[in-house]
Amino acid sequence: MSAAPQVTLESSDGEKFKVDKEVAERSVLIKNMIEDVGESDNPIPLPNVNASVLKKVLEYCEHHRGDPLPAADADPSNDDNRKRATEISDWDQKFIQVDQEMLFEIILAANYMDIKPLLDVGCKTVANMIKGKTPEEIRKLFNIVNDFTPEEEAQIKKENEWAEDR
Amino acid sequence: MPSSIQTVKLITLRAPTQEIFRCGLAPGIPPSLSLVNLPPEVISQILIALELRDILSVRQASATCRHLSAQMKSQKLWNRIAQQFLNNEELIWPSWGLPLHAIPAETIEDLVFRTKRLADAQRNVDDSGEEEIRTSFQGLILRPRDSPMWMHLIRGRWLLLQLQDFTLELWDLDDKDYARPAATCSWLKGFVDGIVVTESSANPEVTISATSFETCKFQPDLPFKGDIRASRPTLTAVNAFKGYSLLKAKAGRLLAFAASSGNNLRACIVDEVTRGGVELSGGPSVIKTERTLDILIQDPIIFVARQRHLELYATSEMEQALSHDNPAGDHRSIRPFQSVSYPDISLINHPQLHANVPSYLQARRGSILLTHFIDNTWHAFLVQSPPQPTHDAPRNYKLVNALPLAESEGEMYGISVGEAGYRCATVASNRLFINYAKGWEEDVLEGCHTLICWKIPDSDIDVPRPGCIAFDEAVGICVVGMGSGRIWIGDAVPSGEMKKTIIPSIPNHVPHPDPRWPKLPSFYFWDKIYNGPHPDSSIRDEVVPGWSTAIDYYVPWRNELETYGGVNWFVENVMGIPGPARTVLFSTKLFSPTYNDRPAEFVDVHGQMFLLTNYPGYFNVRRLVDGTTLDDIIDRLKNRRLGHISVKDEEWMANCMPLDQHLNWYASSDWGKLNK
Repeated sequence: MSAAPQVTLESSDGEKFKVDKEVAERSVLIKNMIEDVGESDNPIPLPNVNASVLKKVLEYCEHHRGDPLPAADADPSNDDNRKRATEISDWDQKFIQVDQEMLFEIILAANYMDIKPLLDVGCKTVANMIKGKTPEEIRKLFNIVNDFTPEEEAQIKKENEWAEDR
Repeated sequence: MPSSIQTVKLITLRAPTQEIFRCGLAPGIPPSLSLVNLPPEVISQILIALELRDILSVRQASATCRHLSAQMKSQKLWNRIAQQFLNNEELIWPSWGLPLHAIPAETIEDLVFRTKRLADAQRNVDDSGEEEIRTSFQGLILRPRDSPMWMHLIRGRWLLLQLQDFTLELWDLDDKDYARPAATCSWLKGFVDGIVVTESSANPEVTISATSFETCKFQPDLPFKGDIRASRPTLTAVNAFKGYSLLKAKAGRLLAFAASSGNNLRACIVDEVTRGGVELSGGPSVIKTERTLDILIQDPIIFVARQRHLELYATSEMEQALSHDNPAGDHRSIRPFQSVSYPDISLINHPQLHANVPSYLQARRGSILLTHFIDNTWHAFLVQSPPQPTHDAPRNYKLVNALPLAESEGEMYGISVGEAGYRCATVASNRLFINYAKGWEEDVLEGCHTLICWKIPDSDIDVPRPGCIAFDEAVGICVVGMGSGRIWIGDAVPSGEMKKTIIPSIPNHVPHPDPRWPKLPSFYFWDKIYNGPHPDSSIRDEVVPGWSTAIDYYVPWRNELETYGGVNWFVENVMGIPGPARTVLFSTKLFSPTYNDRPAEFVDVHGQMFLLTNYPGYFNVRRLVDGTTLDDIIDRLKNRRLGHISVKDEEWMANCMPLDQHLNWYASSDWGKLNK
């Protein structure tokens, strides 16, 4: 019996990662690609993900390689899922303790590579960052700036007035 | 196996992120990833995990960023947020708010925030422990073409109303000019006595019935509240038929009525397409004068509330009867499998129950609730259902409670009942109150709290017309039609700057001469204190100031033998005296707005004179001294020079009796004996 089948992934900056197929297939994108084209020694290019992010993503996949795959149609609005909304496992919590830029890179990569549980962890982390913050704090936190004219801004302010003193 | 590389390259890739999302980044700061860089579906996934409060903060934070504020408006996002509320029952969601996919995102957003603000306003009243009265005022329709008699609010935005001449008008409350109705319909020949709005698609279906036994269905094309989509609402009937009145409920194609022209006080269910129907005949204990208060069609049970019983019919039996029915022939009648009596005889015999006061039947959480309005209080009967109601397990329903709902001062005009409690509109001392009370069951009954309050100017000459209050419980819009024809539009949702404002004074409404008005004289022509002759006394049949024998001219259906709501109907079915009865003298102040001037008429039944007075919601019957003739009455009215009859005018009234007393008198009278 040969060793576990492996695939090679290539990041946007050309770095190659050789990982177990089982690990790589945590990504639905890669799983589908392999199914479509069959096994091959050619590296699978991931032009939207750079090496440092891919490394991090693969670390996650490696840790969760044995997890059952999530149901495709989990409804985030149903009660159980909603309760889970703020819960992140200890390992995930440690894993996601990265700077904000890396956090968003991971979220984008998870979205692109279609890794639902990782996307979930990322979104929940961002949601937890938002919780309880004032609009001004949120603006600062995420570096959201004003691209409106003063007139437009006044109009917006008026529309949102009632929410100001909350 | 071919090389995989080419295939992989075919996969569509996203454009470089900096290109798309650059707009959200601060100048001078090196481009870096942030919230604004995330694709829409990810942003909505983050927002879903947040409480509404935090969503509000994000919305506010992103309000001045084009990309992010566009994300905040996505349909998917608001569908999910609304769905969350529906699941968690955090807010009262409008009954018309479904199905979600049919509502534009902006409307859902608007609704979520409206309902949220309404809930907040309510909570503030709770927290303070005392009644904080808000005055909230949105607008005023100064002049519909005539004074409204009935109104109904659709989708929190569209006001459907009926004028004295039976014309229907549809007003758009989002159009703040209130210059003219969006649509009108003028072919009805009677007053609207029932409406059902079915929200099955983006376009609501409105079915109404009228006292003239006409039923018609409209598809008026009405956008939701806050929806700016262009539409041309119409009031063209897409389906109409005759023969039924008092529309109570609708389930699919089935319409439930509490009266039919052939057989007045009988409940029936009719298929609006085939016109086949069944009569809900009632148990053996149903008496001739027993009114049907409400009908609720569900599967497997149809509930019918009458004055003395709640009856339960098997839906399957009705379907069976309908499938064999001959559309042109008689209606098959079906019998209830169970009949639950109400406990309190003094309540069910109350005369107000005989008249057209609203009663509502609701089924919720395994119990059936019947609410009705007696002696200025709403009473509720709770009937508990078996755990799994089926028509195979009859006789398991039992009455568990009868309780008065929290009292509030003043005359109550509208009530809206939800699972969390109920809201009502009352009028007292020149003010209109929107109150709410928590809960239903006795142990959580907390009394009424005032949510909003308006001053109603000059209420000594201008008060709300009974039946002319429309209230949307979820969005907090309340509309009140005044006797003068003014229509007040109030909003229970406080906005930032509207805290204890004073209602701007409104110029006295001077009606413009309208060539149509002389047809139906109304209070428009009276001054504040009127004691002189009828200003319109040149009309042909004027007999005494303020009184006329031109009944057929004013109210054409009044004396018709077969007309529901006509005097003959009332005398035969409510007073229980075999007719014919005929109105011989009628107050032309029929639609007078003030409390003292009630609609009144003298009725001749086999030579015996009665005075009928129509209070908001119920009738008083006075029997005149035996032998009094029409001439005697006219003589007396003329000599007194009074525009109205004094209630205390006892010397010529043999008896002033509420209806139950009247029925006793009748049973012991010669007519009663004769009739047996």
